[in-house]
Amino acid sequence: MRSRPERLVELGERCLTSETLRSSLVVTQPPACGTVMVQVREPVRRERFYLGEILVTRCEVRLDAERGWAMIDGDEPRAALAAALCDAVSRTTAEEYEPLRLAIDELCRETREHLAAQEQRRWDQIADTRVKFEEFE
Amino acid sequence: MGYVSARGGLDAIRAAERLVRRLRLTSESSWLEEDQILEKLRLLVDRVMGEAGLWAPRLAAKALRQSEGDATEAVHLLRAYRSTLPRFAYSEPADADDVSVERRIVPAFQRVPGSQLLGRSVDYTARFLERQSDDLAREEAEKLRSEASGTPDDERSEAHADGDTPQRSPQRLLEMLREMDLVVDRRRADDPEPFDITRTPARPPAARSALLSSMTRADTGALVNQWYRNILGPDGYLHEVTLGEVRHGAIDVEVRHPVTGLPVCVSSVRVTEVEAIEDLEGVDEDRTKFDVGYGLCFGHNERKAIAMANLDIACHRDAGRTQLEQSLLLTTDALDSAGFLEHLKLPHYVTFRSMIERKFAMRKARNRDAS
Repeated sequence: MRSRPERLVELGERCLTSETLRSSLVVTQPPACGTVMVQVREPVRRERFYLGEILVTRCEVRLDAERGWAMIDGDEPRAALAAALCDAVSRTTAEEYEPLRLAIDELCRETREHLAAQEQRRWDQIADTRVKFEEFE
Repeated sequence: MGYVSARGGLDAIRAAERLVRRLRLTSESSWLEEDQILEKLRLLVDRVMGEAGLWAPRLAAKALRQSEGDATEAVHLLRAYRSTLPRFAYSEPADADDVSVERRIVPAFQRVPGSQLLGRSVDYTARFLERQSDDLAREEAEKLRSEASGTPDDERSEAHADGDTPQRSPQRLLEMLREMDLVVDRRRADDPEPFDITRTPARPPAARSALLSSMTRADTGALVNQWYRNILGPDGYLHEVTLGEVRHGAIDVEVRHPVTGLPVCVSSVRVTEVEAIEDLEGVDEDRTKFDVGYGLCFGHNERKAIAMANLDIACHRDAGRTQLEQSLLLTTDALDSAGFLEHLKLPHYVTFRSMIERKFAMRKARNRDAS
């Protein structure tokens, strides 16, 4: 769900090149925008409160007997549809979908690496701002 | 026009709206890209999302462009749009301890667990207006870009060089104070459902979750003003303020997958978090300990989170003695206050005519009495 939208769409389109997949696919819930209310547990009383909502796109499909579901950050209908499709494919066991399952695993790995690299860049930028203030003696 | 008793003027209203739109779209300058607003006016985008109660950076950028930079109008646009959307889910409770910091300072304490990181801040430097020409600024930007891309990884950070990598979610000062038995323990054993201010208006006495939600989406200026009034103003509630944690970072938003039942990360939002330490000195308080207030809001908005944390503890200590809670719940929302204020611009002919008629009636009665 955290993959870059363009990479998800790319993989979704690849999935749709399969004739078998196309004939077994039903979009049960077309991509639509909505919100998720963010709950936070705060540290003072350890009680929950609502921070606010985030914009997401949700989609659901069925591929044979498998349900595929996705919720994507922002207004990304194509990526949400692609992610729901990938979610369904990832749960199939049929041999013909094996290459797609491998491609999905590959995208997950790429996403993990991308997020880690992003995080590292962020840390590289701020690491020099680490401070130890001294007290007057 | 709501309850304003006037009608007509439709052609002029449409013409006024067209004028706004035409002049905005056809101005001589180049098109203002969403990415420019997101990157160059990031704090304004954060503020609008926080006050709208909706994390949607691209929509906030669009709203700011449409409102010609009027933050309150942008909040109005975002809230109006949000009201058309279904709510798909409530996230799994995100633990504030898991915020991955980009900036973390602890004004109260020098030696704290984890590092203090100034991050992206001008707090410690004098403010000078940069008056160089745009051409010079562009040159500088190009130079900085090429420097950044040419810097070898091993030269980028002193912190990495000494092998002491800063922790991304360092232990908070509150935990340290707890270990020292220096803070009143107000942790709850139960786990009440949070109050949803977007569904039901919060009225005093309200649950703390309602107060926190109200403050987190309050108008930044209104909250700062409430804090300042509370500290120095006519409320006369002067108290010792020390900040524990001031953090800006990211927190994951997880939703439960309807098929697998497992939590899935759907987004990561940036937040500002503050702990305010209060020195207890009331007769009915444990003077050997401190208490702590908490502030958390969308985006990078330290003023708001600091005011919120201080007002959280102030409200707890006030315990309904003054009108503080009522003020926070009922007067700090940007849309409520600005909406009421701006409706005054709409025609009030009938209201005012009745006021004039009352004046004439009173005058007539006074003249009759006098004669």
